[in-house]
Amino acid sequence: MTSVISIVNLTKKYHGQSKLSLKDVNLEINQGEFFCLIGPSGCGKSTLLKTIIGIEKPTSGQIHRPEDITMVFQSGALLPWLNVLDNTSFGLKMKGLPEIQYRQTAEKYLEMVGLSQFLKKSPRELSGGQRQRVGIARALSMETEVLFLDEPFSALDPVTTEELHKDLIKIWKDTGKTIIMISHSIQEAVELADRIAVMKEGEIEKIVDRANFKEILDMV
Amino acid sequence: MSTVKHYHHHYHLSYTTSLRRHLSAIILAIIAVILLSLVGFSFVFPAKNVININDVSPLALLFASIFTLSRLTIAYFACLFLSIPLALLITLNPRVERVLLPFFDIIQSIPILAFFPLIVLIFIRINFYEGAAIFVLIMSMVWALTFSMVGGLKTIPEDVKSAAFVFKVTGFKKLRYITLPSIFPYIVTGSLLSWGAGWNILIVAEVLHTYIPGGTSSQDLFGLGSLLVNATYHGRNLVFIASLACMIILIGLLNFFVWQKLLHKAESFKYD
Repeated sequence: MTSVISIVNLTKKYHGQSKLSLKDVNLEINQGEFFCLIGPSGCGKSTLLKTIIGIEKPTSGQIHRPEDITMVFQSGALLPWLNVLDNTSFGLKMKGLPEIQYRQTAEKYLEMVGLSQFLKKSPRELSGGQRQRVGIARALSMETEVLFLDEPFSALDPVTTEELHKDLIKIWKDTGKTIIMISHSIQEAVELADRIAVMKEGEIEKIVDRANFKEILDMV
Repeated sequence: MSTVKHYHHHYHLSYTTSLRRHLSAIILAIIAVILLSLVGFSFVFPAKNVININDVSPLALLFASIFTLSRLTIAYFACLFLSIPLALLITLNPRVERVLLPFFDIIQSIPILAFFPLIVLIFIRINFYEGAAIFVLIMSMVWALTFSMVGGLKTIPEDVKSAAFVFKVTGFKKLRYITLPSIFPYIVTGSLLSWGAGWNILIVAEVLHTYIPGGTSSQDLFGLGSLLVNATYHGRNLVFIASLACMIILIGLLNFFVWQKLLHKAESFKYD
């Protein structure tokens, strides 16, 4: 399998803190796989994601990843002054694409997440699940090889979360993207992922593939 | 068969909306040109308080209102342009903030009349009376706007900042598409407070003769603030009441036509 993201001996120490937030992390993520990072709060999974993306600078180690990546955020990170269509096309507009192109692309992905009827709505007028769908459409519209998701369903009710899980699986199968998702829910990770990495105190404790998910479920 | 969508139909303004907007723009442009000409005239012929306080016509009151409003508007826009980089500088990183925030807090706490007469005197010495008034106004108006913007910058959600990073929105693009819209509600509330401070200090700003040793009211700038003071000094109660009424009407009109609309608009810029 081709590795799309490779992390070698990655450490991260925040300024003014004695403890390492990431300790010697080594990780290979394969092209087209759905990879999930789980672990308790403060275990370093968000720090790892931010470091891979480039929001945080590593203290030492190496990260190999594609130049273009995109992300779905926990809060949706929608801009309240833009409507659904403008929010979805925001990344493409910033990339400098012509208006007709970025709007058509955004419409295509809004249709994919079932929000074609909401183009002119403001984020305020949407439910939590719909907002998260806009966030997913915005990320997909960037048409990158790798998609990161930072606890995208943590603030949603179980019914909406279940619906979005199904949507995400469908999108993953349709697009063949590599998906890296952070979650605090073991059940969610087991339901969605090909492989799961369990993090504890800044280290990757174990990486388990689908055939051995029972190991993870036994941890509950 | 695939359908091709023509976006210019979707987003083009209707003819009537377009016409109304064009007319509004023309009217606003004419008003702006008149105001700027008047202010420009007063810059060329400074410090001529030509009003005989015993004979103030309604037209003179109208001109006084325009002059006062122009001074406040110029000072406000100067504050706006100063506050944005200042607020960005303060929130640049925690270390810069730890130094700059208390420093500016001390500066803004010093009463404007304590040491600024010296700086105002410099303006008067170079015969730039309007500059002196606008300087006084800026020094009292800038802080509310700056601190409000600092507050606004701190409330931008981390996820939104991360989204800007992921979508490679940096520099001026980030300022235009993320930062300024994010702090727009804070700019509006800061502007309200800033204008309040401006109206408060208006009398001091226009009555410049108090800064000049042996100065007389002929060295004051023509405007509502100086009319109020000179009318009181000469016991012209009617002029005083008329000037005060003009000021209240101006504040009311600004509130109705500008601030209420901006406050309403700002609601759609607020994060949940």
